[in-house]
Amino acid sequence: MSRKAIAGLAVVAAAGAGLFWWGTDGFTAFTAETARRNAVMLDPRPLPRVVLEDQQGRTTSLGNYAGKVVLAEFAYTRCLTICSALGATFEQLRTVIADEGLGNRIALVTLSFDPEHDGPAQLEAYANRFGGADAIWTFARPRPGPDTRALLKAADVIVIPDGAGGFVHNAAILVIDARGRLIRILDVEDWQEALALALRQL
Amino acid sequence: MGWNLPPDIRHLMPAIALVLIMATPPLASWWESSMVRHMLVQIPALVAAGVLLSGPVARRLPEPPERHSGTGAPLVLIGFVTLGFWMLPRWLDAAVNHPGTDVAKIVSLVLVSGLPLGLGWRRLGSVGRAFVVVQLVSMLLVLGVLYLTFPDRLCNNYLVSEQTVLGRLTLLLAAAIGLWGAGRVLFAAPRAPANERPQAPVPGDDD
Repeated sequence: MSRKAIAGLAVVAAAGAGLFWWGTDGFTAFTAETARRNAVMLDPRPLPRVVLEDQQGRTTSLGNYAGKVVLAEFAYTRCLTICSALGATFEQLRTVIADEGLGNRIALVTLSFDPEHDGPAQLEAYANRFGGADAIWTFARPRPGPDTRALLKAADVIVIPDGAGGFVHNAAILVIDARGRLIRILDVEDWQEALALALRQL
Repeated sequence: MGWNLPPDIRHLMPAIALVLIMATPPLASWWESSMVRHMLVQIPALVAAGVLLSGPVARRLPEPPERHSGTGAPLVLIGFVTLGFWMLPRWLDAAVNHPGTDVAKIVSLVLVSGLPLGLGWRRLGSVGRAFVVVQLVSMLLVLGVLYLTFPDRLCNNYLVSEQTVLGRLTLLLAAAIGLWGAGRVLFAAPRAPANERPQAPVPGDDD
């Protein structure tokens, strides 16, 4: 191979390595999911304070939680798979929050991304699968259309049909600080970390 | 259409047609709505469009061979780096979610992957070409095994079930290209060394 070819290959390889470095946040984020978590951690982002309707038909909003840390999840009430695991984790979180008397400082919110279907009755029934809603844990839906899209977009939540009438989505625990900013996205298994982070915020 | 166009433009028509089929907005979304169509049809077709462009482009370049010697391998590497970038699940997802990123993907796959691959391929000897094919097969094998065995979704826009199908098809493609390459090595009629015969035709070299 000629010297010219070797020099050319070296230049291209170096530029390519730089491109991949940039495109993976320094070889850490190969998937969009990791990239979204990195981005939120480095640069907390406000979530839109869209109007929400809870399991009793009352109007609320993420803005109503100012001063509290919110641990939120996205779900849809017809879900039988990942949402159940996430719901069970939130049930566990609620027990800890209640037992430790943290209810005035940390709130749990389950947000439906299927608001056309998930009215108050459906939300209530879904809540009852996990011991019911209470002062700590609210189940709510945004208005269908632009509000829902804005909320999903702000959190980089992608919802796709699962081919069997349901949905698949990048489920996670969203930690929202007392100022309404999304500050961390964590796996279901890392719920204790989510709680510890919430406590550090207060 | 196109009968009265100058030959230069006429030679670009297959590439332009391919890009239009793959990248016109409603069609692009359809190709991209499935992981298999996105990765095994749209992306390869856009690269192929760039390779098709390389024929007419190569004819317009000044031809003293000494100017081009040694540029084949770097050009091919540019093509593979660009292709590899869009194989990153993060950027595949971004192309689906953000129209601007998708435009960047389409343009770069044609002009910074397919075109340099086609130009570089013309300037490589038979050893270089064999290396490129082996490299392509090994890249497809690694990707295929990754898609088949990765337990979670690699892309937020696609299901695990489709990822598994893509894995199988990618391995099949690797096997097909590998067998084709092996067949060429084992059964091709003996020929003069690459530098003593006219350049082998490549896709897109239509005259």
